[in-house]
Amino acid sequence: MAVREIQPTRSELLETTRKIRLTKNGHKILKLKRDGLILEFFNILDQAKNLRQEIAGLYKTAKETIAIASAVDGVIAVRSAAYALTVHPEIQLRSRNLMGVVVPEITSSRIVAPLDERGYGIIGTSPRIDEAADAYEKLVETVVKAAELETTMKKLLEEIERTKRRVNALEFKVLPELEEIERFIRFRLEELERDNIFRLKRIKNKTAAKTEA
Amino acid sequence: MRLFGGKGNYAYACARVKARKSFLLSKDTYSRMMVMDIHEIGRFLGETQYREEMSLYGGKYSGASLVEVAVTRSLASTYSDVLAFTTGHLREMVGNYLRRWDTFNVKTILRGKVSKASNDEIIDTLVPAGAFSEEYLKTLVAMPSLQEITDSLMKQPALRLTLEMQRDVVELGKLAPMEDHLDKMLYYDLLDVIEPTKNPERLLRDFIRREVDVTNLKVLLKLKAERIPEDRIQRYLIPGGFEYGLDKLKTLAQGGDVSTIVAELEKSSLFEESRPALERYRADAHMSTLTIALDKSLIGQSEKFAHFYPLSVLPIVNYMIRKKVEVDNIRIIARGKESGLSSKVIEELLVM
Repeated sequence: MAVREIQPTRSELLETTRKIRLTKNGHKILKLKRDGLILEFFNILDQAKNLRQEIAGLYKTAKETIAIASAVDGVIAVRSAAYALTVHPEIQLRSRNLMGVVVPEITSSRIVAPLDERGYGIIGTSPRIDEAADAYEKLVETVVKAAELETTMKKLLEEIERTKRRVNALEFKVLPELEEIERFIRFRLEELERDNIFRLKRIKNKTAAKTEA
Repeated sequence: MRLFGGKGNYAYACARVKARKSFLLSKDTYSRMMVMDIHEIGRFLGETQYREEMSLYGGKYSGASLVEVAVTRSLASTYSDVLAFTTGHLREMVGNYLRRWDTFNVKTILRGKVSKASNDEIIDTLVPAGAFSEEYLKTLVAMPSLQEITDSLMKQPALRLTLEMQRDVVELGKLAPMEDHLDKMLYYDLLDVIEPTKNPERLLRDFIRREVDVTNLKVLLKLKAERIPEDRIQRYLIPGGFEYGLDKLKTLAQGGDVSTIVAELEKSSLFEESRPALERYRADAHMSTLTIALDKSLIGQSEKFAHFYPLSVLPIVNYMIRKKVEVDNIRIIARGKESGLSSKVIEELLVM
């Protein structure tokens, strides 16, 4: 808001002072929110890093077990065992509020199937295929957990960015402008007051001179 | 049940099999293959008894897939040859032993159809060495639906499939009940057909019964490791084992956990040569370490009995087992190299 557009009146000064007070309050609250979000983010970051390492390990194991199963039992046996599965995983998605940020809550079921419910025959299927299935089940379960954490992290980061921009905007643009306006109005009001005093003195002096004459 | 007249051409068949054994790959050959890359393995196999299949499928496949398809088809061809040069009662026993490939082929076709593999892929994985001819198997593969395939299989009296199994496969896509039934029927029929009238047949029957032991133990170990309750384990157990009858197996299924079964295994003759495997299992808790040891132990048994009666069905069965082991080993090396498995891991999977 350009300073020259402001009417330097008392009511305007009161309004500006009120805005400054409000802005400073808002700035303080937003800084607290920003700090809280950052703390929460770092909390989740540690968990997410550990989960990522766990996924890397599980993926390596799963790849090795399926490579062994393909080598020993043949590629078609492994592929068809995978397609014989009759139990399919289910994902339930809910949301929750974390310091004003809506984040997902993901739960999964039926990822891990008991051996006798996987859909392929027990007697003739090799344990290598069972081990490969076990390894991929663990991997998928962990990936689902990681999906929740990493989406939460992404949303927190976006909110932290947004809050930081607002804090900075208030601190470096809005508040200085308002304070500048307040200074201008005060200066103008003081000038007007000085003008008035000078005018009144001149009138008083003229009146006194007339009376003496 | 005797289908063929006459005892059988034991001397001739055993001589032919002895000659063929000399073409089996040696341990040194596996060591050489371990340092080759997949292309070199393909070139090497193209200069061995697998040259025909490597040339035949070289246009369609490459790399480890070519090796797998070529050696699988070679195995089918070898078994067909063995069956072709046997006669009489010997042929009947070999034929019955090879019926396991009917079970394998039916399962491969059903699984291939469920997993939407191409017809060519399914056909190239079949081992038409059992009672079902290659033409019949190809007809099954060409059928467009599971309904038609199972209708045709229902007409095969040897399989003894039920309408409930067919419904599970066609309507629910559940292959498990039919697969387990086929695996059980295989052993019921084998034990029924091999009469222990003479020593070689009795040894073969004992070998099949040991195979039943190994199958049952593998199932028990798997299910116990998953903590499946005893009442759900019982339906997978096959009667007729050599060391482990149904009652003993039920007791093992009821009590304790995997460690109880492992402790029982330590007393078994199956684990005489498998102490290292037991120690490895205790270190890494991988079920496949134990089950590989059980399979190796069984193959070791077949090596022993082949020498007892050199002019009987035993050397022929031993040759068929060794040929399968060779094909498995080649596939393990090829697929293992392609997947980047370490040499140590590949060597542990080989049976030598």
